[in-house]
Amino acid sequence: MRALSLPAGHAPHAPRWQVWVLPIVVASVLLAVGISELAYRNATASLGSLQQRTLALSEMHELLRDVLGAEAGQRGYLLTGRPEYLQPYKSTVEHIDHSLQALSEHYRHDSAVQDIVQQMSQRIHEKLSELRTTLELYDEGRHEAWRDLMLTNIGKEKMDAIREAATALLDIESGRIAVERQHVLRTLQISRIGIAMLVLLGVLAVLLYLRLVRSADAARQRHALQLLDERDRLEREVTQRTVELTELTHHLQSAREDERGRLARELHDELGALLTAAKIDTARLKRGLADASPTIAERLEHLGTTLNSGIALKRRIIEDLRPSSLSNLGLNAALEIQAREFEARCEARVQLLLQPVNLSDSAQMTVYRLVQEALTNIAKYARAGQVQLSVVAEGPNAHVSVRDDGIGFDPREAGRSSHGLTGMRYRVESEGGRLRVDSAAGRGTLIEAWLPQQALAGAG
Amino acid sequence: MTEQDRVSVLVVDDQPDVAQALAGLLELDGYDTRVSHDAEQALRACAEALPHCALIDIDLPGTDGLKLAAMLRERHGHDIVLVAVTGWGEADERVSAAFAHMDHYLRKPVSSEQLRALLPPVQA
Repeated sequence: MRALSLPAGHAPHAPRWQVWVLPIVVASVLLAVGISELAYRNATASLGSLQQRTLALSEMHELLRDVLGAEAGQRGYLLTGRPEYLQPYKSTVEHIDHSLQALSEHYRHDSAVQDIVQQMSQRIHEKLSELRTTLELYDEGRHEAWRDLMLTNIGKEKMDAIREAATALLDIESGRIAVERQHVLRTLQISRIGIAMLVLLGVLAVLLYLRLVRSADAARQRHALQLLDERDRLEREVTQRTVELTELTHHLQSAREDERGRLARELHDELGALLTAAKIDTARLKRGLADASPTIAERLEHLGTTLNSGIALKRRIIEDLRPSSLSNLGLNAALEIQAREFEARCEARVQLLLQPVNLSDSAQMTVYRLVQEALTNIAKYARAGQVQLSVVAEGPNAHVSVRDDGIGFDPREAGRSSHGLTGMRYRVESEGGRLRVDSAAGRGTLIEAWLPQQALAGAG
Repeated sequence: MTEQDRVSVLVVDDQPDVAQALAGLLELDGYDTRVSHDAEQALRACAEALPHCALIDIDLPGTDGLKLAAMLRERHGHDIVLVAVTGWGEADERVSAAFAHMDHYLRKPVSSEQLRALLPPVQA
C-alpha cells in the first residue's frame, strides 16, 4: 500500500484514476477477507453439525444392533436354556435405554424427527416388552405360551416397525447431511472464488505498482536528461563566455599597453623636451646672471633643482608606463632591474633565480606585469623580509614564481588586492597559461604562473 | 645680440659626417656649435668653455656616451644639459643606471623640429 501511494506523491500530475486505486484495493481486500471469514465460520458450523449428525447416526445403528442383539440373546436362551445367553440380552437392554435417551436428547429441538424417535422408542419398548414377556413365560415353564407368542409374528412386526422408523430417520438424517455437505461445498467454493479474487487483485496491484514505478523511473530519467542538457548548455555557455572574456582581456591588455606606450612617447617627446628646454634656459640665466644678488642665485638654484626633480619624475613615469628595459634587454634583465628597484624602495631582500625562457613579446610583458603587481602588493601589504623571484623552464612551460615570507592573507576573502589578482589571472590565461595563488594568514604568499613557451624553431 | 643670449651646443659623435650634419643644422638655427669626436675631446672642450647643452652619441669608442655623461655631471653639475643621441629603440632611458645622468634623449636621425623643441629659440 505504501508503495502504491509513493509514486502518487512523487508525481503530483498522476492521472485521476490513480486517486481511486487505493480505496478500491482496500475495499476489495476487506471484501475478500470478509468472504473468507464468513466461509470459514459457515464451514466450521456445518462441520460441527455434521459431526453431531454422524454421532447421532452411529447411535441409531448401535440402537438397531442392540435391539437385534437383545433378540438374538433371547432366542439363544430360549433355544438352549443356558443363562449365559441372557448376559448379552441384559447388557444390551440397558444400553438401549441409554441410547434412546441420548437420541431423544439429540433431537430435543427437532420436532420433525422427534415424532419418529418417539415412535421408534415406543416400538422398541414394545419389542423389549415382547422379549421380556417371552422370557418370563419361559422361566415360568409355560413353554407352550412363549412358543405361541413367538409364532404370532408380533415380534417380527415390531422389528419391522422399528426398522422402518430407523430407516425414516436415517433417510431424513442422510438428506440433511447431504444438504450440509452441499453447504460446506458451497462455502468452499465461495472461499475458493474469494482467494482467486484476492490473488487476481494482488497480481493486478503488482502490475499497477510496476507500471507506476516504471512511469516514475521514466519521469526521473527524463528529468535527469533535462538536467544533463541544462548542465551541458551551461557548460557550453561558460566555455563560450570564458573564451570571449579571455579574448576581451587580451584585447584590453594590448590596448592598454598600446595606450601606455603612446602616453610614454608623448610624455617623453613633449614634456621631456619642455623640461630640457627649461633647464637649458636656467643654465643660460645662471651664467648670464653670475654677478646677480645671492637671492636671485638661490632662486635660480632652486629652479634648477625643481627642474631636475621634474625630469627624474618624468623618467620614472615613462618607465612605469612602458618598461623599455623589456624590449631592449630582455625579460630577465628587466626583472632584475625591477628587483633592484624594489629593494631600493623596500626593506625586503630579493633572491633571484632567472633562467632563460622562450616567451612571446606579449607573454613577456605579462610576466613583467605579474611580477610588478606581485612586488607592488608585497611592498604595500606583505611586510616581508625575503622575496624569492624565479623564472625557470618547466617542460613546454615557463614557470614564474614570486614567494614572500610576509603576513599572507586568506585568498577566499575578497578585497585588497583581489582585483589585481583577478586581473593577473585573466592576463595569464589570455596567454594560454594558468595562475595559482597560495597564501594563508601568517604563512606568506606564493604566486606562480605557468605560461606556454614558444616553439624553439620559431625562436631560432 | 649679446654674448649672454647665445646658446652654445657641443656635439659629440665619433662619425665626422653625422657630427657635421648635426652641427650644420644647429648653426642654421643660430646656435653656437662645437664638435668633438670622442670623450677626451669633449671633456677638454667643456673645460675650456662650458656649453649650455651637449648632444652626446651613446656609442662612442673607448669611453662611451653614458660614462662621458657621468663624468661631465661630476665635473660641472647641472650647469650643463646633457642630451643623449641614440640609435636604439624607443625609451632607452632607464636601461642603465648611468642613463640617469642624461636629461633627455633623441633618437637618430635627429630632426630640426626635435632640436627646436629642445633648445631655446635664438634671435638671428
